[in-house]
Amino acid sequence: MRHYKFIYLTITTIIFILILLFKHAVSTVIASVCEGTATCSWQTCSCRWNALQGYYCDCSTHSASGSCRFVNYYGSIMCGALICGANSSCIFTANSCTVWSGRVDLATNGCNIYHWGCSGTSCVKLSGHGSDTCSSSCRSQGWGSWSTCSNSCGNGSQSRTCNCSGDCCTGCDGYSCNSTQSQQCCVCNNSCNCNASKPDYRTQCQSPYCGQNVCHTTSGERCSGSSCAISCTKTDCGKCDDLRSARIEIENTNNNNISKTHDLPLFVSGHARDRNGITHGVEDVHIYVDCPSESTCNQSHFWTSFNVNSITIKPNDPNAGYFSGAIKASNMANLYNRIGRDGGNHSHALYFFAVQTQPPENLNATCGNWYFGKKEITLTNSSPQNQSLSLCQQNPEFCFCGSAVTGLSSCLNLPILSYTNNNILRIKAAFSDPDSFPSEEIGFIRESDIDEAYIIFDDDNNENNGYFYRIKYKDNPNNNSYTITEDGGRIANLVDINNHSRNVTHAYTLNLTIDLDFSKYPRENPFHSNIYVRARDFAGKESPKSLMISTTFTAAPYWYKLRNASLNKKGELRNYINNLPSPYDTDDTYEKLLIVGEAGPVLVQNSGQNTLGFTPIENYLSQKRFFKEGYNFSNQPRFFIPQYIAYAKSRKLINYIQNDISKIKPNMINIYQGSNLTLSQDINQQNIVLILMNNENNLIDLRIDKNVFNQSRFSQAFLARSITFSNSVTEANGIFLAFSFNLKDLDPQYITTPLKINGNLVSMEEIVDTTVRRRIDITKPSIFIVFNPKMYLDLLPYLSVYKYDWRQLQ
Amino acid sequence: MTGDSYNSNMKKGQVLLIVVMLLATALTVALTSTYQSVTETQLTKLEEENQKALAAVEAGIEKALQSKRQGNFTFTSLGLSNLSGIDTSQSSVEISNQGSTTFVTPLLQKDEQYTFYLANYPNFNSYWGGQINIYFKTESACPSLELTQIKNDNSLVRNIVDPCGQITDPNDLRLGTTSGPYSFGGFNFGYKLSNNISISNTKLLIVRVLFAPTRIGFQGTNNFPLQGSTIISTAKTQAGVEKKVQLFQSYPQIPAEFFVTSF
Repeated sequence: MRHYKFIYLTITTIIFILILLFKHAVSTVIASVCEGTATCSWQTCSCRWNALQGYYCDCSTHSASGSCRFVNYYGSIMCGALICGANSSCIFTANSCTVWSGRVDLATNGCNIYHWGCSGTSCVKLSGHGSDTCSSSCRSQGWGSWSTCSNSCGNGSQSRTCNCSGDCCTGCDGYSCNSTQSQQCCVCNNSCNCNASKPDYRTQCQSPYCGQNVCHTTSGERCSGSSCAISCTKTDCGKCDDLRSARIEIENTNNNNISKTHDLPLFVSGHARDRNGITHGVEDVHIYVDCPSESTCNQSHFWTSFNVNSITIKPNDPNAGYFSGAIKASNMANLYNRIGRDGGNHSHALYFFAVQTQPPENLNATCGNWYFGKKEITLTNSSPQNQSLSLCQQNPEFCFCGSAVTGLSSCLNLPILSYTNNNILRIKAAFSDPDSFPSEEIGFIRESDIDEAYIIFDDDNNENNGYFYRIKYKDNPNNNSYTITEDGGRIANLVDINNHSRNVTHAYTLNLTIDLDFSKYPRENPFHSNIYVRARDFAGKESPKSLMISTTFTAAPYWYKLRNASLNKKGELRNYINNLPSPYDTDDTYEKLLIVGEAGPVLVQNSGQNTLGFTPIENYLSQKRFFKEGYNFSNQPRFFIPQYIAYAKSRKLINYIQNDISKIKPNMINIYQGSNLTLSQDINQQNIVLILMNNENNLIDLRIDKNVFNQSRFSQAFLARSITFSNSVTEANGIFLAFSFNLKDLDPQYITTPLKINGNLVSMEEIVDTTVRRRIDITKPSIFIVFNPKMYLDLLPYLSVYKYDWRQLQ
Repeated sequence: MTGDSYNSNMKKGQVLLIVVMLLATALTVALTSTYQSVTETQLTKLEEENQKALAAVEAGIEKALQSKRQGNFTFTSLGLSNLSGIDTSQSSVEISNQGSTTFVTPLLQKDEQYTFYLANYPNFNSYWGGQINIYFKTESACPSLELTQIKNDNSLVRNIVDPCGQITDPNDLRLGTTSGPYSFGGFNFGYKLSNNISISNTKLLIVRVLFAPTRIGFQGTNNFPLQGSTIISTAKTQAGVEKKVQLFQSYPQIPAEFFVTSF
């Protein structure tokens, strides 16, 4: 039983102790709750450094009726009521307690403000408001407030305590937590003098705040003697000559939303206050420029180029004295014009005048056009620099050479049009002007950016001889527009400017995108050109030419492709493969090769001028890359069609037909005898060799004139003097052997119909122009030859010879 | 004997001697001429017999080619019984059907090609399988080869052989070779492949000769399919002159001039 009593007492004691601890915790929390009168919760604060003013913070809050903004300068935190007035206005009423710097904890990762409320004349930290990113182990609050001076009149002493929590202490000038600091103090009023033995900022005297018989401390002034008794009357308040500029800032950022490089609005903001540090509202602010002195500013120096909306800077918070507004860049441009666009740097003084003030203690006071601030701005200019140029495929966009990174040198000797889709060359040019803007104190404003820019294709370095093609960009600052025009050159009528656009980055770089259409460009006449850019700014300063790079606007963006073939290329191999090829059909692949599939060697008669548009050429021949330039083909081959005919006549069974292709027999050699033949219908016979001759036993010409010839893909071979694939032929199935070929009819000069040959094509003579077929989509080959071994196997008994080896044994 | 008689006899003897000498000379000339005539006659006769025999041989070959049969046949059985001066009973034709592990092509000129059969012709339904090596360079200049296999599904496999580095081959895909000389099939070859080529399901192996002429020797691990017809024709004239000729006629050859894409 005694044992139970002991347990009961122990439990009761523990519960009692827990209750006490809980009550203590609750009372601690309650004690830290703000007891001030602030009614708006501060939501965000941002702090910046200013050389004159130190850190200052802007804190804003919100209410249901509108947005409030409180601007606090000098690193102080003011305690007062921030309420939202009518029409989304904010009204801040300061209480009698002002907490000075030292209450702002500037953490390394930003600005954190401990918010303070007022409790009588003491400031109390408000918990649960604002952000506090300090770690829990380091929550320095710095020095606390000075205690009330021990003497209510004259000299006394006061102390303060370093308030810390956690395991570190910052903001107390090296003092440890909870340590105290003492100093002399002085309380002065109309009836007593201050006799602080040593000057100290906190014991200095100054003009009293209007209507209050207490001394206010501030920085910047010291007691000049042992006594600084001040008589304060309300009539000293709100004088116009008290107005001073607390801050005037000139910016040109508009959330980096820049429409044109030179179209940079001038943002002006500031704050007017009196010399006691009390802010005064200004309803209008007028700016004069380049007055001989502030006292001589008159209407003649008014920045007359401003219109009403821009010259009158509406204050957005009259009670706080804050004003801001934008001055249009066009008005700035007028200033540039006034001083002349000589490309130099020019400094200007801007004089700020308050049109009207409404001091809170003297609502009847007005300060019409009263000077209160001055700001120096410098208009700067230097030449445009750092131009860059990229050459691109349009759709999908793919820039294959150029740019600031790789430089124009990457375009050297490239067959430019081979990289494009449908002959549309996209040019992406960037023009920069390195003028600086802004600085902290003196606003350096860009006087001028890119006014004109040129993209020039020239076969030499002399634009004056007319052998060039030039594109001109011209800005029009008056209506926020620009023009892209052809600016002469011998190929101006052969190149069309299609779409174009511009944008300006926040780094003030002008970016132009221009699509050039080379569809009309003559393929037989390659344009070897240098390419470079230059630009001129609004001040007339011109950049030097960029590096000139010789490149090729190739004559042959229309190209052919083979599959499973070996190739004997007579003459030269000049076939500009597309950079991002698309397959002709399912027999083709996406490979950027001359021959896809199982390729044999490519033997080329000539050497030195061969190209596939890319180097090294063998990398684009086939997967196996077998290549021989300068191969010696016999001009008089030992065996071709005539020799075959002679052989066949003596050794093989031949069906002779006279002008009647209906008599063609399958599985044998047929010799057609008549005049030149056009085949407009398929020959639906398997395994035929058709030789075309006239009655004099000379070879004649064959013309294939059917959209898909030999649609059933019978194994057929056609031997003639020349073979023409008419303009309507898109596919011809068979083995075609002739001394010469025409890949289209004589007219027109070029057609857009592609041609596929499924079988083989063997020409004794070189087909010089392989670009007569120019399909619209140049990512696909215009001619596609598929080597078909099955047809050779089917025709083995006919399209063949026997070899003999004869030996006399006895 | 008087002196006049002596002189008279002396003169008669001289005349006789001269007559004898003249007769001997004339006889020599006559006999020589006669011999030459006989010899020439005999030679002409032999040549005639030779030509007759060769013509008969060719006729036998021609008949054999037309018959498209295999085996041994007399001229008579081939319908060649009426050949004048030919002992048709002693003349015959042998059409060989013997496969071999070796095969040597005729001399292929530059840019010519040879169609080597790796399946039965013309049906292409029985494929040869095994390892194959290729010998080449029988002439002074160095050739390169393009090898094209046509597989049973009509797909292709292409290679090159280029011992003298005449073809740009950045991927070094050419087939390796070792240099000889190699005596093969009755010819001396300068190169052969370093490694055999494995062959299966292949219809044709087409060898194109580039840069220089050469024969091509094929060596297989087992007998190749027939590459054509080998005909041995023997003809004997009634005079006893006999001729024997071997003719090889290949299966159809696709001319390289018709086979390689060219323009």
